[in-house]
Amino acid sequence: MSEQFVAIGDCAIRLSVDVRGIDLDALRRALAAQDSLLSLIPTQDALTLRYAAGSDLQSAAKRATAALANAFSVTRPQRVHQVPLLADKGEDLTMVAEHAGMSADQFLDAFCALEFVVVQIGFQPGFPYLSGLPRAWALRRRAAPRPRVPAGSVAIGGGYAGIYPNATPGGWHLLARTQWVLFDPHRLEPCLFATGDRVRFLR
Amino acid sequence: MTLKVIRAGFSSVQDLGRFGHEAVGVAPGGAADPLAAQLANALVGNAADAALLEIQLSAATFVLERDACIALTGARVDFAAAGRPRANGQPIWLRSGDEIKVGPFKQGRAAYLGIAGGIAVPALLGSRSTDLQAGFGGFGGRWLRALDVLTLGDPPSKARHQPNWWCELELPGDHAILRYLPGPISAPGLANSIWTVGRDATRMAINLQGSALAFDCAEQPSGAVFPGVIQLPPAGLPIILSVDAQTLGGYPLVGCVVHADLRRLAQLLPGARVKLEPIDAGLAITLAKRQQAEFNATLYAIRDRL
Repeated sequence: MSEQFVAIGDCAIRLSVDVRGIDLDALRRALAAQDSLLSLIPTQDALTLRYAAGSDLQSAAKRATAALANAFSVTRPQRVHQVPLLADKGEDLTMVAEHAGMSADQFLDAFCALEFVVVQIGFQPGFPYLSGLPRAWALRRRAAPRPRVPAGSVAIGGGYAGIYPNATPGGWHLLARTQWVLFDPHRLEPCLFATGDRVRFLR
Repeated sequence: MTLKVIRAGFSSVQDLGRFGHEAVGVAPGGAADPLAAQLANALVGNAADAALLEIQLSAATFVLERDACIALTGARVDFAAAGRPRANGQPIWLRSGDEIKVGPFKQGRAAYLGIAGGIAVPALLGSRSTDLQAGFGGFGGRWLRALDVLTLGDPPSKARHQPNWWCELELPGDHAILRYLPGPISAPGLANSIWTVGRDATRMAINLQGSALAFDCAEQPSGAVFPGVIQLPPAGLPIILSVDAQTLGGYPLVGCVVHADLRRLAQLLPGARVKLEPIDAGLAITLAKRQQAEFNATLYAIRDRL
């Protein structure tokens, strides 16, 4: 494995690595003995590690790279989530469908025929970044974000599909809504999705 | 055994943050000025990570409904308890029914009200802090409101004489320097400007105003971000992420404020002038270690005297 890392500030490093299949808990345990690791943030093409102030990032990066090689889990179940959509249409559906050269109905049918993969979770707790959107449908984010996107909004932005777990400001284009609660800190497993899970939408 | 909120201002229950759930998008958050929060807890005899109140740049009033030792740290604030003006940064023993009035703020933006025993909200995902963005944790996942009643933990210490000393941490003034490590994306000119902290500075981010940098960078895939990260959106005005930074961000990442200056960042007032000063990684680590050593010395001195 390459030892390519980038320091971000004096407390964090970013390792360019395919994070699929990494058992983050195992990695955390492996590093706990020598490093005071605060955060592990997996993204689509990198793993960012934040350490306590004053850490020697050079040697921490070496240990992290070595530990990564042993932190791949082989047992992670592949889950498929079938997310039901509510009947009411999202505010941007007509515009997005037009951009794709379809009617709103045709577009939703085509959208529901796709299978997406959760490539990263973030922005807010439980927000899944879903890959699998046809390139031709990709749209840049709105120039100005909406001050309030309703919870459960299914949206596309920057080449991904996603679902807003909470009502928040948001810059993606809204297609539809679901009643699914993607994140609940009181649940045994707060986040419904995990990186690598597959997602389909149902009309 | 409670604290009643009379006037809430922008107050929230915080501790040292919720770490370990970043992979599902939970931002660590916690006290914006963790050293000031730990100082408040030390002064009242609490553990460093006990839950306390953070008051952001607003007047707030509370009434104690049991005897308790309290301390106010962080921002320099006019502060009265039981009808008398009080000093910041020292333990104060109060009786049930006493009123605590905080404000107006004189310097800094985040004040901490530590109360012996801590605020006894349940821990959620390993922390008692309020995630104000996601709306969970702390007290109801939100800013406090008038008439909220907060349960207090068991007081760990008994009333003693009023000490004749106090502790204050350095605060930024109207002109501040934030030291940072540049990169990964290069943004020439970042260090050459005097920036002004925007009006909409929040716990999430500090927007800098000034003459926009000419900056041409392709749209980036969302990457990991955290407090201190300096982003440069296409408009050319930097945004520095603060304590409530989300876990992922899509703007080009052009630097990161060094750890030793994060509390200064969190205490900056809207309108303050800021210069960004690039330094090297070795100096950043020296600064972080020195800050921690000085703070530890303060904590030892307090324990010695209490």
